[in-house]
Amino acid sequence: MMSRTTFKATFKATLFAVICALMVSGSHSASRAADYTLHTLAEGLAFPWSLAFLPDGDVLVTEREGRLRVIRDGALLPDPVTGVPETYAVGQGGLMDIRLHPDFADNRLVYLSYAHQEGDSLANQLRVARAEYADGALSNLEVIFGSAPMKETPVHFGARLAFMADGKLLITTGDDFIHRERAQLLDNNFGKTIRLNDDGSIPDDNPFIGIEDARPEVWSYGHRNPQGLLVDAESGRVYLHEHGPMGGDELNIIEPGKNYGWPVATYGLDYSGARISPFEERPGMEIPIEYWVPSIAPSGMTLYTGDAFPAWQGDIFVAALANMTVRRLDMDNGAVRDQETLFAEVEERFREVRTGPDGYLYLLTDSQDGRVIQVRPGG
Amino acid sequence: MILSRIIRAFIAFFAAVVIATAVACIIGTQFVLAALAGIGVDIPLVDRLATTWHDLINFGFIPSPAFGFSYAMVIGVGLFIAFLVAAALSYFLPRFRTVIYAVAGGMAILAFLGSSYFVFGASMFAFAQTPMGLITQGAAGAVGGWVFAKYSRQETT
Repeated sequence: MMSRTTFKATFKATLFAVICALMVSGSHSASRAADYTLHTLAEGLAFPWSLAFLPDGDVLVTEREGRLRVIRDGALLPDPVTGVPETYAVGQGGLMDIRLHPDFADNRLVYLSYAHQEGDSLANQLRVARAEYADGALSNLEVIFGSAPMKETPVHFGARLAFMADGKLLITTGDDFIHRERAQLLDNNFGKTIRLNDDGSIPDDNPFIGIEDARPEVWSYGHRNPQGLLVDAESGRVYLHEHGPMGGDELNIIEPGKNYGWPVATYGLDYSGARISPFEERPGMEIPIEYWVPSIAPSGMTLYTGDAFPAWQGDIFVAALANMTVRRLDMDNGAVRDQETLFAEVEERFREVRTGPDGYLYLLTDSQDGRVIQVRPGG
Repeated sequence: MILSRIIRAFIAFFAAVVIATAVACIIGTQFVLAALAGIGVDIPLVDRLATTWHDLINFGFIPSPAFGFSYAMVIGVGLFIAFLVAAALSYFLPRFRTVIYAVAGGMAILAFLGSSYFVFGASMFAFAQTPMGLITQGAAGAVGGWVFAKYSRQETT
């Protein structure tokens, strides 16, 4: 039988071990934390959606209502860029992503994604166009992609763009909200990632080339509304996040030809509370490397590779609309090791997060009076 | 006498809402599962039953966190308004009382589902995105109307 002294010693030792364990587990996050200050770089932007950093230091910002704005020397220029295509700025549609061609310094090509309306009808589609940018104007605009068949609703466009290391362009498309089962079929562009050459032609090594009833531009399928896309230049991994319905937002690593499950396998419920599917996982369908229940509404992400925040090197940052925070995902060889919630003090919806060439983080807030916020090191 | 009629009408209304909601939910779930089966997904019977039960409770009677209401609440409000109109019409057309209430019940659900097209540009409910889906939801409302007409009728001797 244990004596009173032995019991006390055992209790103290156990307590000490528990405290040590808690300190060790807590020190992981603490060691990764970084001091920062927030600076508003520009404000008064109508639902800013994305931004691009030009070699000369200018920053281009898309406004969902259809304007492309320029930030120069820390000030928003009053006049928008000319030559931007007319957009279908209804619902979630409008002017959305912007990406520079990998050889922008030589060819001045920028790529825009936007919603396009067919005549006066409800029919619409996601389009991607490229144009040459110089002196506040776009010229020689060329539409290189239009999602097919036409959409019926003004929601779930996807619309993120990213260039791969081999110069191929990736485009995300949404499921159009209605008839969501089409995301599982390869004969359409609903709920897909699309892979194109930089001129819009279809690469001959796409996974569904030559397959009957499959569109050759499709690279992966089974997505809902993917609004985050990045290519890790070092590992070659392609990360994509997508909105779930009520719960079930996902972060996936995308590989060619694979099926990411929507709407057959999902951790989310319909907004009504009903099930979308009996299955959360399904053979032949990829499992996300991270998912969020309840939803945070992820809407943009960046892989931090800058020098300003050494503690954040290699982390993925995810902007969240509903959650009104940015999630820092501590990554370990393609797996999420831990996550931290940041920038809640801003108290605004975050549309996008990007890494600037100066190593600072840039946040876009989602409102009629949206801001570009620069995150700098320092307390 | 009057109190008895009120109590009878209240019970009939409650039964109409519960039955219409249950029928609408059960049918709605089968449309969602049929859409999945239509793209080649094999759904075992046990999963069908579990999904149907889940939806019956969590969509039918528990308010959705996203919407703030349940389908039963919507159907209840819809049937209440529709039955007021039906009562007025039945006064003038007593022979068609059951049909009038059934049509009113169906119209109540169709009006709600139709209104979401105008508000959102699409049905918020996957099961109501096809004409047949809409019609069957209307049929569930008609069942509710029929139940109310049958059980609220004043017995004559």
